[in-house]
Amino acid sequence: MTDLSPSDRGLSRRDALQAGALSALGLLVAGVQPAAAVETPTSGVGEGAKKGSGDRLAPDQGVRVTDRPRDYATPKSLKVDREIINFSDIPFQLNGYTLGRHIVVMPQKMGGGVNLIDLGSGRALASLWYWNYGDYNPISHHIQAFPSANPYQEFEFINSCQGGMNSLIYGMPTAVTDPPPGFNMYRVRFNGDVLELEENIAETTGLGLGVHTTIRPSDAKSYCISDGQKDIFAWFDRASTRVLQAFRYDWQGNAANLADCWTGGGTLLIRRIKPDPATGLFDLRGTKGLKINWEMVPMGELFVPEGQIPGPNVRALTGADAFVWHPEGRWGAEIIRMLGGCVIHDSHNSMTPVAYCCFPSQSPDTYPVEQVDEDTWRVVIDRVYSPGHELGFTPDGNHLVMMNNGLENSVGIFDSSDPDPSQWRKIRQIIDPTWGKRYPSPFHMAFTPDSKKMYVVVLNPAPGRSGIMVVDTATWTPIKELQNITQDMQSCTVTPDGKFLLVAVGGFQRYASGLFVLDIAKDEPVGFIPNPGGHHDLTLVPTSVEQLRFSRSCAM
Amino acid sequence: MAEPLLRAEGLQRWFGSAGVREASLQLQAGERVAILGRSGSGKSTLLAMLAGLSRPDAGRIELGIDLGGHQGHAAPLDLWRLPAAARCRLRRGPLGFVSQFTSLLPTLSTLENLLLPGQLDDQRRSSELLTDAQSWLEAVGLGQRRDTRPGQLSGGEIRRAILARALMNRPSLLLADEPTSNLDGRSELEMMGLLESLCARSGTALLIVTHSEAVARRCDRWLELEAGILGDPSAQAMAGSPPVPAAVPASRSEALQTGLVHPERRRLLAGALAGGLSVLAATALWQARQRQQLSARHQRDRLQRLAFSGLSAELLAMERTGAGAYQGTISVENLAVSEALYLLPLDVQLYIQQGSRWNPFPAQWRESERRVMKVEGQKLLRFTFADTPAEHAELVPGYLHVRIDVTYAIADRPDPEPMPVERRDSFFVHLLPPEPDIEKVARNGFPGAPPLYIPMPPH
Repeated sequence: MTDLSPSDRGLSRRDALQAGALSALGLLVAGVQPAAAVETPTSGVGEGAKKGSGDRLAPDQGVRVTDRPRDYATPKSLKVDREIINFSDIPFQLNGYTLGRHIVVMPQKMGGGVNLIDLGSGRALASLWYWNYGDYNPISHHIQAFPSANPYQEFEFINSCQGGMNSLIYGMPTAVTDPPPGFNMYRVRFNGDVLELEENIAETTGLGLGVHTTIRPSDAKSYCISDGQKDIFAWFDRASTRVLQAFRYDWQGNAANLADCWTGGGTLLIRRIKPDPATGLFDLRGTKGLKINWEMVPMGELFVPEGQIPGPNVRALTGADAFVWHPEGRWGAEIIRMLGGCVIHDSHNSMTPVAYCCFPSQSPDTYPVEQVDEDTWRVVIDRVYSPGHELGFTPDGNHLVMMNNGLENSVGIFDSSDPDPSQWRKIRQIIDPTWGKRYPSPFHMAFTPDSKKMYVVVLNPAPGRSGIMVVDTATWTPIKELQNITQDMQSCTVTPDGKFLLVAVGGFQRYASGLFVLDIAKDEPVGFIPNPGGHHDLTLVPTSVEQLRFSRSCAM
Repeated sequence: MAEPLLRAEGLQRWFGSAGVREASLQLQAGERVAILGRSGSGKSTLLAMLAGLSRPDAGRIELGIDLGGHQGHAAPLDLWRLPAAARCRLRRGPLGFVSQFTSLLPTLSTLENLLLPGQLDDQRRSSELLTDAQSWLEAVGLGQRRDTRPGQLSGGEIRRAILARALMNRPSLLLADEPTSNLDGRSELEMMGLLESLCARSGTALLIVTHSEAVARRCDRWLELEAGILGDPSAQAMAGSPPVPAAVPASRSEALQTGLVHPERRRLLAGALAGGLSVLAATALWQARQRQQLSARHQRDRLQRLAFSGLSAELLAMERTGAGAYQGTISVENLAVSEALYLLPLDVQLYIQQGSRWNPFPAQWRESERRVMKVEGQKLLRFTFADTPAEHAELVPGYLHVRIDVTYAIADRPDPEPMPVERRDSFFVHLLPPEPDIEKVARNGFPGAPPLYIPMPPH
């Protein structure tokens, strides 16, 4: 009789034992097919099962189920040199530079999650993926971290995610044609070991906003999130997640034809919006409230009047995409991208709009903000010379800068030192001869903590490579430009010690990506830290409230 | 070891200060070898020399076959000592060649394109040729497209037809110049799989030049062409170190003490000195070569910067030019104000999403764009395409999802030294098909008339 191994018979040892036990109990009766007769399914069996003389089947997952032979054990007599490694003894260096103990948080835009990078040890400390929490279209977009005295022990951040059709603009031949609504905002905590998803703010408030996220720099007790597809910005209380104030912006263009709807002037309406008193919630989750189907990507402002962006309410679009804070924490500026300007709100007075600043060189400095009723204001604008895309205050609060992208392609600078924002005045325009029509264009910005230098990402479309321009803020003149660095350089920020500029490299969601590091003392490149995911934003975890003044809460 | 099928030694071909500087290689019958290199590294020049198309400035190429393609029966053929007619005969028979450009004759059907080389050769019966051609068309999956003209074939189908034509005469050696260029990753590997299986079927050796590491790694071995020098990457670790000088006496007095007067020792010392001088000469040569490579690299970096930061390219417009026909306009501009920029439009390829894949469809530059142009201010490049498929994916209701890949050669002078840099731009649009479904299109909620195309952001 041939002695068949259990695997030859398709019978594992456990099966045999079970069969024996059932038989002994009289439960294995005629008519019931014995386990040995059942044909072993071939699917679900890995290659490992077909090789060698193993007596067990290896499942597809690659885990080999086997008994442990005696000779697996290391003999006690064997001398093994056992060494304890302390990772802090092997600090991370990037091309000879030590970057310091900082944690960078980067949303993985198309990856649908977020991860932390420890610049001290070069490790990815933790990661979290919103897909796993039931958000099936989380375009992890913008982010800001609250200060923490010891970020390695604990900190919290707010991460806005887009949704809807925004995943369809990246040239992916996807089979997903009706993406889920998304537009969630998450409050996430790092507990020293892992990331914990604490709250979906959209669920708590009924508001779904997917773009810039900023924290009030004076106390870090509240934060704002905007969305330029819905033209809404909301101010949230950190402790209660209550919406302190929310505003919606609408445009009424003078011209009947779409092409001149914005350039031909019109009225900007600013309305305070409130939740349903019965539920305490807004009814603006997911794609509800969208005016256009796709986000206002760089230069997207020009596609709108050309009729190439569809959506339910295109003509009313203002592009209110970000709220940046004045470092003192009283004023905040909501960018109005389609009009190349911003509305200044007063947080000491229920966020009431108080001024409107206009950045293109031919525009007047400001337009008056008129109150229409208790919750409505309007700004009448006679002509729009260029849309804009990015906005920021210097850390000393003395200047407000905006990138007039699209038509003018310049950098407009306001003196914002006057205590009355209606008296802020435009003092300078930077127009570099290499900034062409649409590209390359000045894009995201960051300032050194002492406000002496401004770094501007200069964006080129792929496969063109982007660069960084260094501007002396004493004279607002460019002093250096590093060109041809890599594709799609995005948001940037400066380390608290003022030593390094960090730039998120998104690679347009398919090219090279990671984190670019620049030595601020020499204005020379340090190198790249790899990180996948097509990042659009980044935040360094501040270790004090003071550091928010030069974070992306005040300049984007 | 058997005589190699191909042996090339010391090949050089210069274009000013650039070109192929030093290339030596051997290939055995049935072997698959890849030559990997960046755009402008000299890959195509090397292949053209091996194919008998471009005469080397120096070096020698021997083929271990006779003019009929029989191996090992006669002395190797010195390719560039043969008369032109004999080289031509080799290319029609035992030496197959796949060009990176579309080389099918547009007025002939696919089948006729395959038959043409055999008919020119006049060595085989028509019925035999026809049977062979049909067999190869079946093998490359074009059995149903035999009567179709190249203009109606997709980009992938054209590639396969060129491959079938090259294999028609069962060559002993197939030289393939970027046969997978402009194919997406998956199509590239499919094409490579087809190439491998067909070469195995006909016992053909394969020498392929490519810039794709994925393609190179599928071959038996691969060589790397960098700055015109062909090297074996596996041997580079050793070759990268300069020669170490031989040991010499530490000082003159020590040398005297060791007894220079002794004849045997004198001979030994003379030998050592000669060896040392050889080592020094070799070191000097190595250093000169390093300097030359460094200079070439600097030039290359400068051109790369010009190509990727000096040129702005935007899809400016899409228009309908007739029933089912479209014209696209790309605006190119020299942003490197102080530098001259010359551009040659190389290739334009259309991809349309079907299911969840980009499938290639033909597009052409307008005749007037196919030239080297100096880019000062804005220049417009126009391309055309027609016959978009009826079946296609719709990410935006009622619209085709289209990717347009355009490739240009960019240099700082009209007769580039070194070789020009190649840049590829991808533009993504949603395009209204020739006969749109009005109801579907209306679902988008455009503020005015539905646009002919929706440009996607500059990704």
